[in-house]
Amino acid sequence: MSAPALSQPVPVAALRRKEKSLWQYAWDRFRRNPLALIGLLFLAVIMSAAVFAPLVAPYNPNAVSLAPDDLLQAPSMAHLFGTDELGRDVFSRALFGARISLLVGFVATGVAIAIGVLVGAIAGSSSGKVDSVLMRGIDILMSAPLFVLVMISQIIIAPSIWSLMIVIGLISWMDVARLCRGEFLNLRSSEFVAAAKVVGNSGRRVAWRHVLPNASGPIIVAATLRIAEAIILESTLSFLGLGIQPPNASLGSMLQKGLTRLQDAPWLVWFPGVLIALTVLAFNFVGDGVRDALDPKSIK
Amino acid sequence: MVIPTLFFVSLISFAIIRAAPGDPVRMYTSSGMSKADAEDVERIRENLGLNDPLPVQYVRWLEQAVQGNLGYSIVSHRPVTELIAEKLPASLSLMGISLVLSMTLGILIGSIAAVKRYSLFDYATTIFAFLGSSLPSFWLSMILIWFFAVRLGWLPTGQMHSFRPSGPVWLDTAKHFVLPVIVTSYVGLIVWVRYQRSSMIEALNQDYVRTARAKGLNSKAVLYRHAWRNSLVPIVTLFGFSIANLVAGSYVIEYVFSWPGMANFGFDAILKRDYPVIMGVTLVSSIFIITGNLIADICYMFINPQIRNSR
Repeated sequence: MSAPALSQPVPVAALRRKEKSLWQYAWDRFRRNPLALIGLLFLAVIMSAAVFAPLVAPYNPNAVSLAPDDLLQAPSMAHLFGTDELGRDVFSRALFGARISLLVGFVATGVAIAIGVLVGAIAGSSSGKVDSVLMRGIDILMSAPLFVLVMISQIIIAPSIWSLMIVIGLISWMDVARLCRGEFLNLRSSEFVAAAKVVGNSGRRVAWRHVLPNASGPIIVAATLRIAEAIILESTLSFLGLGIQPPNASLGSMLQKGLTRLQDAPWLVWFPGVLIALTVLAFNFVGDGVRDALDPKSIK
Repeated sequence: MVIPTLFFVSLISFAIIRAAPGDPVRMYTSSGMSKADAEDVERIRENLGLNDPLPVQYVRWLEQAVQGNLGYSIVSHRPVTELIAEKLPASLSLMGISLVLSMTLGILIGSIAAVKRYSLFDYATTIFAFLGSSLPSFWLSMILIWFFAVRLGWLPTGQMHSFRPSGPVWLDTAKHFVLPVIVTSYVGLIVWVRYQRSSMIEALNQDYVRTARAKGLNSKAVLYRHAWRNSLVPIVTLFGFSIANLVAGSYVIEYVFSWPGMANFGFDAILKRDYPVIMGVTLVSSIFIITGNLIADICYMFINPQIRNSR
């Protein structure tokens, strides 16, 4: 979610010594971070490949071909990533798989951010009892074996892309809520909030229109890093057979079949795994880059 | 904190499991030896107490659980505690070895990286840690299996023992441990390295380190007696957290290596809808995780006088 906002090219005119907004300063600093730029570039490539997968993919990802020449073929020019045990093209499947993995990553993070910001904002702007009840609740949730509960719930309710998104979102909002609460507590005593209150804004309006926009930096950073984690969670669940169900594939569920084919077709494991790792790495780089860029201490 | 969390976990897992379609009695009778008619199914359900209202069933389970009785497996009819006790050593030995390895190596590497900050070693460590947090652990496991077990044939692909070990039994078991231990340790290691590195850097910047240097103490003594020992203080809390992480994180790794531990046992139980076993495994995992977090809290309280005294 952070990437689109930051990746918009700043018009050159704006860069000439005029007053720059906080975001322009941030983008200036972000540009000077090579790792973050490489990450952003990679994400741009893989995201467009995923979005335009139907156009880019050389084969139908689910087209089964049982001709002996098509089964478990090693990578070649015809099949860049080889073929699987049903003669399907692994490259095409990986493109569509990346599409699902990214989609789950984004939506699950959206769910987590929505819940986290809501709870954090409520806790941070209300005082005393409500705050401490919410925080104790979060403590309890964070010390629960959530991954185990997710595994159980995914087995029990028929796993689907929707359940994946919701379930992953549901177990990863607590960090965001803590972060958001902290920001709210920090900003609550600042002068512009006092000013907004004095002018006669309602408490709710102050929270959403004045405090939240100023707390958005750390939340955006958390969101970027959370997408990376959501993608790993998705791939882990799908790998365990608790995520995306066949014939559809995510990068994780493609690895599931690969485990049994390590002997004769290791490429089934190589490529989807490398794609997951690179995507996650890219999100981490970008997240760190955004964090450094938004850190006011680094303004020179 | 511990009691409400355990209560919450058990309640949620109970609710999820029971909300599920699928019935252990049906699974058990339809796959079993004899054809059960509707009457038999009904009788079995009645005997197992599955016909009572859910809250009643939960309270009954809770009463027993508090007394250390987790019920009987619906499939094998053996006590759940006994079954878990059989599976626990495999998981615990794997986690124990990994914990010790990742902790010692992590503190060592993290300290060196901090002392030689911005050196080649430091950069290599950072990259190593960054990679580790981006690679899915199950994928790393598969790559290691592919390379060391399939390609080179040096190590077994999974399980904990061979059926017919060639050579001494301990060597066979040790070989089975190598790959899972590497992966679980690596996952833990990166956290230790990161924490120790920043903790040591912070310690090195303290006034007392400068004082020690200024009064002419040799640099080894400063590093070891003053900086290093103080840098370990905040790290203590990580011990508890890493127990919690190990329990949760080793599930997938155990699965990839077909490790005969809690993870595969729990998986099997879920597929068979063996309610008491699922509840038992969830509860035992939760106890480990919660205890880990509790240890972290206590350690923190112990070492931080501000918190200790404010209570």
